[in-house]
Amino acid sequence: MGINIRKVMADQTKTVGDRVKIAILWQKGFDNPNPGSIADPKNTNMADYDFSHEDYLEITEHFNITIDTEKPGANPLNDADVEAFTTVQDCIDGVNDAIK
Amino acid sequence: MKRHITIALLVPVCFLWAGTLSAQTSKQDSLGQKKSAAAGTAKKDTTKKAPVKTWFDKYVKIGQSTATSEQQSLPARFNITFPDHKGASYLVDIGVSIQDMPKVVNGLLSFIGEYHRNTLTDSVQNNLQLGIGFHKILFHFDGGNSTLFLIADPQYSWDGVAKKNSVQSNVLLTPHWRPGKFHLGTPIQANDTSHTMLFSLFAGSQLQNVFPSDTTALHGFKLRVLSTGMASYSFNRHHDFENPLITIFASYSIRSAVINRVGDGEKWTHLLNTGINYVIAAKPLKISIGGSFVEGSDYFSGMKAQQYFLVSLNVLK
Repeated sequence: MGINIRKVMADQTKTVGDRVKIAILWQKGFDNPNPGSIADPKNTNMADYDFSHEDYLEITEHFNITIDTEKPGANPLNDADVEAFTTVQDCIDGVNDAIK
Repeated sequence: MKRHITIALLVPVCFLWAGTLSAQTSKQDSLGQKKSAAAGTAKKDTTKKAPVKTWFDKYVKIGQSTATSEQQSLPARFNITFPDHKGASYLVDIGVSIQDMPKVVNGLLSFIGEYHRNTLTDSVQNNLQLGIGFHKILFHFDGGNSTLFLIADPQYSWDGVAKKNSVQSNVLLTPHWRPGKFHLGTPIQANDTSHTMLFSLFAGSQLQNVFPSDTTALHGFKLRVLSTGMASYSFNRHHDFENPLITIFASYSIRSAVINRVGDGEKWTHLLNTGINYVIAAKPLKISIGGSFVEGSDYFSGMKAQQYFLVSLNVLK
């Protein structure tokens, strides 16, 4: 049985970076994603994952669960911004910027 | 005996070197990732420059069509044939989605454009569609792991064969359902990432109002209900799930024109699209050569009932 993605995104024992990587890998079909498998987020291009618009809607919601957990009331990311992120590192930076 | 020069078969040769390069690069990337993963740390790489993404990289998606993720996952197809003593015959089957839209609603908006031109078969197709794609989450279920989506794509459509214009839209529902190891709508990855499966399901309606371009053309309103199922199976290169080698796919749509005021006799229609693609380059565009078998019709994009087998050059982004 795989993870419950909403619980994992709200799990503050995990780093924000790991939760972002988990959301991306979970969307790609991994039931128990290993964030360590994205070893180089700066050079891992989001376009290579071939996410659909529906995928991006879900990924954005999952990022926003982390943002809301870390800083309740913070401005959430919007779907179009997340779809425009170039690399996995951009996603991590986007979530970190939202909870600053 | 007629001699044919089929570009779809010749052009991929030009990409073979690119495929070889891509495979080598991918092997290195894959090995690098495994090494780092084994170490259990996500090290910062300060020696490499992060990839620079252009507007095209960021916002443009290319597939066979744009309405659904199932259609987006199928590559655009191209084929051109030059018979002796005859004009060229060709196929262009492409949908382009541009994401660069202002955030004005609770959902994702994109510009969509599709062009479907086929002179290779007896039933010629010449169809242009321009509109807006809209994707929205309706609700979650299964404790939040599954989601139901709404998809709509209001658009203008021009049919150059039937000489008519339409205002039309799909209104579809599709689930991302993850009850356990089986997923619907998101991929299923093998434990060793040697292969990837994808199943998806769409159901809903198509609304189409046909306007005549001259007094003899049929016109009126149509409402179809439809359902589409799709399955694909990819063997991945070097256990890299981002880098498929061979993809086998099948898609089947069934529709019923429950309201048809056009008077063209359309009732039940279907479309089977199945085939196999060999991916010769995966990044930045997925370029493949493939054989597909198509049987049925798709009046929404001006395709009359027909059946053909096609070898084509395919592009997916």
